[in-house]
Amino acid sequence: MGRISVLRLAIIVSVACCFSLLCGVSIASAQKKPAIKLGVNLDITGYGAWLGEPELRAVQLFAEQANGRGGIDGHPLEIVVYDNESNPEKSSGNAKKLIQRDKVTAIIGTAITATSNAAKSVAQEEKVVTYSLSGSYEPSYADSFTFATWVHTSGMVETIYDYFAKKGIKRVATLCATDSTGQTWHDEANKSTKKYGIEVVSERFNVKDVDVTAQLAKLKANNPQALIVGVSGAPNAVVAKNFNQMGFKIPYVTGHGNISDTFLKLMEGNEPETLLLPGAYYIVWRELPDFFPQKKLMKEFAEAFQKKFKKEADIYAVVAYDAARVVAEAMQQVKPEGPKDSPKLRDAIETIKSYPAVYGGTYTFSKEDHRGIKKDAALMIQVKSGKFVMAQ
Amino acid sequence: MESTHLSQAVQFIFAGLTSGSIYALVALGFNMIYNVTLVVNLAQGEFLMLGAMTMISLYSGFKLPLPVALVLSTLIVGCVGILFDRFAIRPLKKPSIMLLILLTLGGSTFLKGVALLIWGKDPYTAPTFTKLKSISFLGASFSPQMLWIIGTLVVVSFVLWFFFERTLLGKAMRACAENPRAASLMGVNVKTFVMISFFLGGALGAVGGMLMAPVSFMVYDEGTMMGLKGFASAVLGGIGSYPGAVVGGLVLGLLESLSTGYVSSIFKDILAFVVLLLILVIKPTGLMKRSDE
Repeated sequence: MGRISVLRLAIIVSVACCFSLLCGVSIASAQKKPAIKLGVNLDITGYGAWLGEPELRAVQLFAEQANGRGGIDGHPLEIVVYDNESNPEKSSGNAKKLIQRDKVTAIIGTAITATSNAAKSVAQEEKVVTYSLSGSYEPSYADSFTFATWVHTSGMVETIYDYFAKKGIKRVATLCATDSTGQTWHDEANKSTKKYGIEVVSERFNVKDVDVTAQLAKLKANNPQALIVGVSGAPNAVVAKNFNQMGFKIPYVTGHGNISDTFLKLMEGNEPETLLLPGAYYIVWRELPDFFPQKKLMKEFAEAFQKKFKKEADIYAVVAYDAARVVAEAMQQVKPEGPKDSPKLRDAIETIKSYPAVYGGTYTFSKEDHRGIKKDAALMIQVKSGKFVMAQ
Repeated sequence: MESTHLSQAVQFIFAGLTSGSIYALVALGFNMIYNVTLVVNLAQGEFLMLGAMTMISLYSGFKLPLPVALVLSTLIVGCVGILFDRFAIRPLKKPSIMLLILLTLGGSTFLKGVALLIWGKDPYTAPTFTKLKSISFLGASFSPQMLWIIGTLVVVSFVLWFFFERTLLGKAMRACAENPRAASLMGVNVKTFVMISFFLGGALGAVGGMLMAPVSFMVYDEGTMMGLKGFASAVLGGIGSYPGAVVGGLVLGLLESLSTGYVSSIFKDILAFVVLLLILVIKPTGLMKRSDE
């Protein structure tokens, strides 16, 4: 009996040791004033890892740069990183740990909608600023402590419709998935039709479908001038193949969740003649003229990231970097000492106006707007010979 | 872009036959193993995924000629089937149906994990077997891959029928399913036949996956859903019946595409499964199985 409990104790102790070693990676630099702590709750492993990984790197880069400049008004910026393994339960657990144990003043994360939603209630209960990096996350409710990046899907849809108006496209077909991303796209695409005088016919499909020709045949009957495919990732391959096979020559537009190398590789050889998606100016920063307001900022970030990680910074790294910049900007005013100062930090973010975004455009927050970025930061992107370029 | 009712109907039917044929191939694999061992192999969908992934790796990665890649992956996944039997099913001392089903479920998770390690989380797709862009028929157009899919189903069905009805080996295999003890008294080595059935089950799954990869895409966890659809087809046609598997698969595929076409694409899966339930309430043994069997 005695031996067993000793063994058990040893196991518990060693597991606890491993745990604290693995999880609480703190990056601190010794300076005189007390450090300001920024929590990072990201999907570093699991299926959201392709987003979490570049996002973590961007925050690390930011912290390094900020401390190089002398920190937040002399206070060193210390980041505390936890991996939520793309698991909603772990995500809310991490948020609690960051606030209660590590006493962070704000949290950046998470990368995907499911884990972001899980951390939402913790943010509200504890009243700590939590900045989600997920594209389809909604921060909206009263007395909110949650913030979100990306131009909202409604803004993305309007960007598409502006482009259609320019091209004289009036009859639009939509084929959206039945998952949550698809639902948002379906709703938004049908919402702003009146304003643009656009006629929309809609069909839906399951992301596990191996054939969507039945849906496309129904849409074809209405003789559409463009197709919007509301889905992220692999199911685009099925739709594009059927689309080409049925001889469609109209523009094929898909969502901003597809701005990745994986998507380009997947579509290789199956690209529709005109493949478009709404995106951010950063994606095409090399093409931008030098007088473009945020070009210098974009270039500096892209080069610093390349230099530190020997890897191209994608748009996901950019949203994380921007989130860290916004939070740090507010920290300059508040100089928070712990979670108790987070409401002041929230109020400070809400006063930020016309703050230039590496994403493209500017951030202007208010009590009602915790996204801060509007449609003017979005533009149409086209896939041409395996690359994202500005749509003509 | 003239589109008449006729050409729409033709398009719906072809769409249904394409997915239906793949369901049918998975259902045939289910029955193959079920008939000899009475095991409902929940890892059948993973055989499909492995077939597609192996084929894509051999063809696009190792640049083998397509026919070689097809044959090799069929054999490889067949052998995975054998290993599955040898290391998961056979060591069981007191096999009960529940335990066996749980084992295959575990096997399915294991195979998914292995695929995740080998191929990662990225989706892959393969080029169509023939270079033709598309074929037009009565105003509807479809991928040449569809002919391959339907053609393969016809050939596989015929070969299976011939094997079980006309060859001694096939008859012996049926005997194992009927009554394993009597069969072994007649000199049939039941263990060997269980192994053969797992090989064939794996191979059939692989064929389905390889045909499917060019029209859609493949990810490490894509097999599960196809396994479910295949299982539904097998039940619909009458579990254990080979003609039933083919009919069940095609009926399920057509149900899905016709409800997309004539009712609503959002209710397609619900409608297909409601009809499936109705058929099973009216005829619990499935479409192609007599109730006295």
